[in-house]
Amino acid sequence: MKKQGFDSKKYKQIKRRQARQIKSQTHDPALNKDGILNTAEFLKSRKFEIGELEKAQLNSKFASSTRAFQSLPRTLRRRTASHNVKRIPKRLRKRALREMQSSDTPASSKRGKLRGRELYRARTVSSLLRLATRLQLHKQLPGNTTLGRLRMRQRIKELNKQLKSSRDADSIDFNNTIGSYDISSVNSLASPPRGKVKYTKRQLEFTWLNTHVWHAKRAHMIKRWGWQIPLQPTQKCFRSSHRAFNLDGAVVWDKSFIGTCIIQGDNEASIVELVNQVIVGKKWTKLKSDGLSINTMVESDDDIIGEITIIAFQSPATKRCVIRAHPSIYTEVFNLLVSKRTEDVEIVDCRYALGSIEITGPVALSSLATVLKPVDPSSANAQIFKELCCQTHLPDKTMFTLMVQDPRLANRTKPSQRSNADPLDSLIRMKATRENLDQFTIEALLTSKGRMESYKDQKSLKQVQVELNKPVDERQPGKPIPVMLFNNDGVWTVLVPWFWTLPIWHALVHIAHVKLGGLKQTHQLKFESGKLFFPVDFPFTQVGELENKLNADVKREKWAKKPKGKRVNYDSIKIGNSRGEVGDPFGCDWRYLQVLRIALPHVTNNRSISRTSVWNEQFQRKIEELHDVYNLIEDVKQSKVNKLSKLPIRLSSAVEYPSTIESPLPVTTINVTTLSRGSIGDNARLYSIPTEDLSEWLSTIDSKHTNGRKNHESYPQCPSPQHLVGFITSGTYNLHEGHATGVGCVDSVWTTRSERFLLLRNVGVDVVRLVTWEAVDALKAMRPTRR
Amino acid sequence: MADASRKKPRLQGKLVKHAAPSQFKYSNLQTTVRIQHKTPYISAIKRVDTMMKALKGRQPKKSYITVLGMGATIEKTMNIGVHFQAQGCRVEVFTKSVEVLDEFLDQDDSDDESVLRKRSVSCVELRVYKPFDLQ
Repeated sequence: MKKQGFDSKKYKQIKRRQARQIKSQTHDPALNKDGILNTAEFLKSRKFEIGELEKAQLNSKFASSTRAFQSLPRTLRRRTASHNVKRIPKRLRKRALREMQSSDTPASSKRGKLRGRELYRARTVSSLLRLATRLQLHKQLPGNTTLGRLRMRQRIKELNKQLKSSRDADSIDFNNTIGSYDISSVNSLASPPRGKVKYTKRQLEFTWLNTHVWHAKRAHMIKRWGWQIPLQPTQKCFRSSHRAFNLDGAVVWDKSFIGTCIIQGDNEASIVELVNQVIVGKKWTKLKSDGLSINTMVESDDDIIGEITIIAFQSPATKRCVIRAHPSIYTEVFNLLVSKRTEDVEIVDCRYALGSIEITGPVALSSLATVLKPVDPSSANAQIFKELCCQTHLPDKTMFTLMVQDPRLANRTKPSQRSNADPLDSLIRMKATRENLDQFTIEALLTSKGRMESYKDQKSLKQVQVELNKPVDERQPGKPIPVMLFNNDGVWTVLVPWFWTLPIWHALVHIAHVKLGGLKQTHQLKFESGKLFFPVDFPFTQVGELENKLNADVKREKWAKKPKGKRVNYDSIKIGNSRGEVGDPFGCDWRYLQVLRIALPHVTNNRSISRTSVWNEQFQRKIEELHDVYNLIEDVKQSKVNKLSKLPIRLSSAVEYPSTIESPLPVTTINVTTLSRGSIGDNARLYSIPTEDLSEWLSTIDSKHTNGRKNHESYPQCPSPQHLVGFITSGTYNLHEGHATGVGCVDSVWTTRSERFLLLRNVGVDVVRLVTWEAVDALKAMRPTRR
Repeated sequence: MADASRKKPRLQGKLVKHAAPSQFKYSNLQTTVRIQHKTPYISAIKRVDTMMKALKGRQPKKSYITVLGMGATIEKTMNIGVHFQAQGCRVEVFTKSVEVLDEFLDQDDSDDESVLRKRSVSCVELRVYKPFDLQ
């Protein structure tokens, strides 16, 4: 910096002085010799001065923010940006260097430290030397071959022989140098991929995604359902993801952990039969039309397992159904299908053979089109993709199939819309001709042979670089990759052969305005559009119940760690006229709700306590008075009751309560919205309005102070626990709606009373809020609704 | 109102109306306001106001804010235009028509078969220029 003629301290001084100077016009040309004011000139000079004043304000503001990295937006800040200029964007590096020299922070220097290849080489040499001395000491080689006198070359030869024989024992036929191979298995579960040797030990129980290393640097990971899954980006992103979903970009997920299996055979009837045996709701009469994706739920023995997506494909030779299921239920669904299949149908486990990437937002499709370049742009399926790929919104369930180039070698230019083509015409044409579906591509993606073919001579990063250094016409493009894109409620899913996920991912995350998402962002996306998120909002399934319990345990532990004086005492908290939280304060206590709702209709004497507990001949508690119900709940809690349903609730629109607690309580999924004020949290309690309080509650809707402001102070108190009808499974502030909303379940029998309002109370709080509700059809919640 | 004779006959099945085709442009975020049926009148005015204040430093340079309204929201859009005219802004009005897609789902609500049809909707585009005292 000495070239400039002054040192950085002086530079800083000058900068500060300049920033504080305000230019003004001392010689005013407006007043001429005769003392007459020239209005135009006068206004012009005042305008100039005001402009200067404003500029000076800004100047001195920015001059005082001392360091370059402090003026960067959050997303561009890096951990050691104060020491290392390379962590600062190029446009600010000069300034950063200058500032670094003036301050006391020493710039990190490269000298004296080994880095990269040099470091690697040094390490190898040191470990080899260590090994050599050890070998010399023991005078032997592995495999009990004492070879004290053998020469070095002979030793190496011997070792290579041993290595080769051990490798041949469980060899896989690779057709590339980087170890990609197809891992699928027919009618049985496939074994997880081996992963890099260096990291094998870390993924014994929980398999890594292809993009694991990339994600681990940028996101919090969790170990669940046999996978290591990104939970949420390290950077806070609640608001920015909301904007990216709806307004100004896209959010991308690696969803390879969602399991995929394929039902295939040549007999259409037996495939339809098999599908009909497992799905909930309306059965299929024939195989759905080609490429149509359907969201539905699976059940076995009337118990709902969870939600799945089915995509049907028919070619003259083979009929296929691709089934995608959440990893928590995947093995169950797969085993169910295998157990129910007939001989002419086979089920292929493609959990580790097909990777998937999801992306949503206004730039989602155009980003995909930037990365995925068709090998043959003149083919019909590539043409239709080109005509539609610039659109921000396409109809639900639109599908494209493409054979694409290696994204690392492709010319990744942004797609542009042809001005003469009307996208609507293309859509109508596509519906009629189905030229978006290319049978060859589908076959290549859904068969092991086709996927292996795409891995043939798959290039490593170094090989890609070698290719890129060649002139364009001499490059070896490599084998085409079969890709399938489909739109599921605004979210585009890309299905690719497993080992192509990483190259596509790397290309995708380099596009401007594309943000990373984790599980929490999926939850947020579903929540904002009022939909159910599996498994959290599916408490009527085994997995949902487990999830609820796990979350409750985490909260309980956290609570227990706090000192007594600093935590809410849920047992003695005053709620309405009673004391203590209703049910388990850390989760949704569905068992409490079930016993309560089923036992309440048996109560004949609602008012007084005339007796103590009474049992009948079968040693069952007699339910006649209100206190009997609470005592029964207490019995269940202390597991004194043997005959209980497996799950406390089930999704059903039944209009009558079951007679005993041996059968689950029918519930309906709902969406609630606050009427005026109040937040909604997870596990909030939902009460029906007692008839005697109804008029008072309704009057609070319009109640106003004398100054015209809304009255929020005088609410009636919380009803007694016998009015409990449900819980909120996920509730928070909804950025899409602009106020708090919640998703949860309520007693189905109560919904038949068709009351408009509910009362909502958060856990550990005495305040009750009036909310409206609407039923969410759990099946249709996943089906097309327009944004 | 549309001429009754030119109105297309309603097809069988449940009607799903798709959004008008649009392309994303990042720079449009700060210069274009789309008026929806549920957009409150005052919010729209405030939004145009704030965008107008920020116009000066925008790249690429534009001297106006575009306000778009379609079908039933044309009236609201025109009202917004009148408001800014009264404020002393120059307002240009363009009329156009936009084609949208209608989808008629099969009777029994299966997603299998559906019929697609184009429909034309009137649209109005306002260009609200900055008043002089702001420039």
